[in-house]
Amino acid sequence: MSDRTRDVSITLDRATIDFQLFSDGGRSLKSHVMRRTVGGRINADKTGHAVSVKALNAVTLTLTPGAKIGLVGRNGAGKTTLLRALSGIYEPTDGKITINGSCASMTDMMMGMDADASGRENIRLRGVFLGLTFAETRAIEPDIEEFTELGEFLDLPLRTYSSGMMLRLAFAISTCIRPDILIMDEVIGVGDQAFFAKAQKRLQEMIHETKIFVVASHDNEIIRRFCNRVLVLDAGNIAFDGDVEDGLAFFDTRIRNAS
Amino acid sequence: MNDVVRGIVGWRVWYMLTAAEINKRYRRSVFGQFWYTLSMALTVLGIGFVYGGLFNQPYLDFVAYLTVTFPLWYLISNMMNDSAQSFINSEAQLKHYAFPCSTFVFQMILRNLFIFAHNIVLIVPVFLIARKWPGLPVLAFVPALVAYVLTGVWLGLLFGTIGTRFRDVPQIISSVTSLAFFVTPVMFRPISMPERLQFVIDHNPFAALLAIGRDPLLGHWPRASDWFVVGLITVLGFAVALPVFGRYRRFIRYWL
Repeated sequence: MSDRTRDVSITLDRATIDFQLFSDGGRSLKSHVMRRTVGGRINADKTGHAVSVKALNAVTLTLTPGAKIGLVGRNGAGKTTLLRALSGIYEPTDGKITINGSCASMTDMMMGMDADASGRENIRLRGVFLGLTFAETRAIEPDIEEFTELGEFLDLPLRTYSSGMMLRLAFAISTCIRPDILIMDEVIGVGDQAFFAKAQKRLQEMIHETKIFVVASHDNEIIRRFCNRVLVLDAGNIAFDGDVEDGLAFFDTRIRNAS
Repeated sequence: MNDVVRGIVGWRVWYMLTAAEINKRYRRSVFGQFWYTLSMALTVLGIGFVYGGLFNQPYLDFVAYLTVTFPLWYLISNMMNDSAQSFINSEAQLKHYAFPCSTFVFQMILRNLFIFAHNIVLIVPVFLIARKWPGLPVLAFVPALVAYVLTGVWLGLLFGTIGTRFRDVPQIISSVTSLAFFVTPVMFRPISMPERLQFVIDHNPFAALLAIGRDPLLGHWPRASDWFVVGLITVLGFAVALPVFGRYRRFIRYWL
């Protein structure tokens, strides 16, 4: 176990994510071919050139066990892109990203739920998405049943659930695994007061047991509570990397209130 | 290549995705997924009646032929049509999970194999009534099935990648497939084709792909020339698909 702990890491080596947004004309193979045949001068403007977006600009970063990172930045600063890159969803277009260890990304807990399938079927579906085997998805069922207090509803299709019930189930499934690396986009509050306390406790356990934790949030309280290091992201660059209070202050004075 | 291997290792994901997709479509209907079988039966009986008359074919015999060719054609042409959409249709999963891209190619293939299985069961009652048994050559259907899966893999990797970048590719491909339908012996027998038009079948990769599955099910050993063509397009297909997919795979998620 200690061997594995030591191996868990995320390394970004001048990782750049630079992608093109196409206008409608740029998405057409026909106009692409046509443009070549007519020489490209007359049609160049009409068919639309791609706009290039640099969402991550040569970021170098090393995360090792014990790192609990709070990611702050304005909208469009590249937070979601960085989170997806850290989860292995986005591959860098230049540079390198190495991820060692099992990684779970909770950017949208409801993702992959099937409204027509029953609660139990959804446990199986989401469980497999999270990397469990069929036997393992059956093993987590009692735990989820107890935690969600859904009772007989677990055998009914999801579309009969209230939104609170649906969120409870999604939350319970997402938090029953113990990944080495946990990535979250905003910590989600769940349901009524009594359940909220229970959910907070479960989430804290999960964050505590994970070796590397990264959360993007606009809520300073959440970052103070869960993190020991802050990254401030600005236009695809890491503008600050260090202590929590210093990072939040840096963001407030230099970035949020600037411009 | 690594992406494809990881896709195979993560088979549970595409198995569950396919199962969920099919369940969703037929959960609340009486016949469930056997709607596929039922509508195939109607197609074959109807076309058999009209075109059997047109080509002067004995009805039962011709229906038996169609019961084999139509499911095979749907398998080939739907894989072709769906290939360009493999990644577009799974945008949400691709953007929220680190699944290898090939997962969604395998999902596309499994879905079409599932539909094929429900269509091809019709040969049992039809062959019983027509008193036709394929006999030993039916064994040659097994390698044909393998060839279909491999075809689906390279189609999905190649057109899936191109189709995500250029959004008019699915339309281009579907017009090619619908044209191919008319020049491939699906609705007619190869022998119904006049001599001067035989080249349409002889130089048609779709016809070869269809033949390697059709002949065994109808009780003939497949022709070596058909297998040669299929082998050739499979090798060529992978030779183009793997480099294209390897080079552009990392952009697929940004193109979505």
